[in-house]
Amino acid sequence: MLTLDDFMRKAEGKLKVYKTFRLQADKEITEKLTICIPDMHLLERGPNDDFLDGKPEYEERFLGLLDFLLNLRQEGGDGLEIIQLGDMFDLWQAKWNTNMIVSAYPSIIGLLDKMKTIYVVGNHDIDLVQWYKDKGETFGRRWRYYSKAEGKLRAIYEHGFQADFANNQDSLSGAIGREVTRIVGMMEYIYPDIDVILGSTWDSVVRAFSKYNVFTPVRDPQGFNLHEYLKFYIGLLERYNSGDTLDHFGPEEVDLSLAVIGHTYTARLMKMPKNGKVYYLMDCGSWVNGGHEIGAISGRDMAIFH
Amino acid sequence: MSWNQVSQAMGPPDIAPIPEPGPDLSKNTRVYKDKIVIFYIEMKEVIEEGKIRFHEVVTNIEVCKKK
Repeated sequence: MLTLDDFMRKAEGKLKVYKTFRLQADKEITEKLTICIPDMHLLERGPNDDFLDGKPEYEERFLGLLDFLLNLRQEGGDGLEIIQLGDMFDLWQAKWNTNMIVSAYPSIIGLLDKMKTIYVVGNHDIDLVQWYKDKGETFGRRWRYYSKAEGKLRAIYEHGFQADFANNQDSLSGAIGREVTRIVGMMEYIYPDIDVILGSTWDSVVRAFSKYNVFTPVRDPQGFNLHEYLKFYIGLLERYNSGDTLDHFGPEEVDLSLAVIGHTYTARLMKMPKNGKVYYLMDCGSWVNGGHEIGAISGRDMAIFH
Repeated sequence: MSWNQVSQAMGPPDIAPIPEPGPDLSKNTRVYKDKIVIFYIEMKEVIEEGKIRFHEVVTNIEVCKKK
């Protein structure tokens, strides 16, 4: 397994640790070098959006990253795992037509597929988790993904919208939020720029809801900004560790320490001790509007790179 | 895919008005009216400037002649 130092060395200066977001976990998290790619929102602004603000160099830079990862994959084989954390496709603007997205970005889709990327869904491509009779899961998407070390699940990977109060399907407000999301999606179908017009209004609604997720910890010794989803994810990891979920894993198989997400567009890496364990939350940032971040985990070592 | 393959599947083109000025469709254009065509597309791996890239290619077409 490549270490993060090896990974940076092979990138020959093209990858840098983002801010100070690098730390060592208290136990092994992965047995592979695991690269996490956050939100891309392909086609959110039409066929020439180049990851939203119309800059072809962003697509070129992303293709450069994929070329680098493909070389690593060809050298290291299955020792490298790539996970896309959802909202890779923006189905709202593509009018639920995935073909339009593939047609606009064939090399991105082709390279990610060639590297056997694990795809997790986000709230903008959630409808790609579909199971059809006789065909199974058609788009190769998952709701969430896990990685193991020392025989136990140690990390959980999902988009992050699950923590968003307005989209949390475990609650009534979440169910209402989903319907609101659908209505907004339909409005975008009728008038594609409606999300731009309603942007600040919609953001303010989400902010009002999301305050219920805020967790006020003791003063963070690392000086990182508080993450509004920290409470949700520590709670989720604790529920898994105690076997209190509807998933098929028993508590003897699970010793989760890390949650890896996207969704917020703001990269952060946090550490939080609770009930005798240490939990970590990695928010991998985005590849939209100038964001160029990825998350990386190798053994105990984890970082966000730019 | 060659034009012969397309014309075998779709038959002779229809006579249709020349398109409005703007897109250069009057040259080498064949028009079919009242047909629905399904294009089957696949990704093809190519090498461009030493790098692996992908293009979409048409691998098959199907013509529905009746609505």
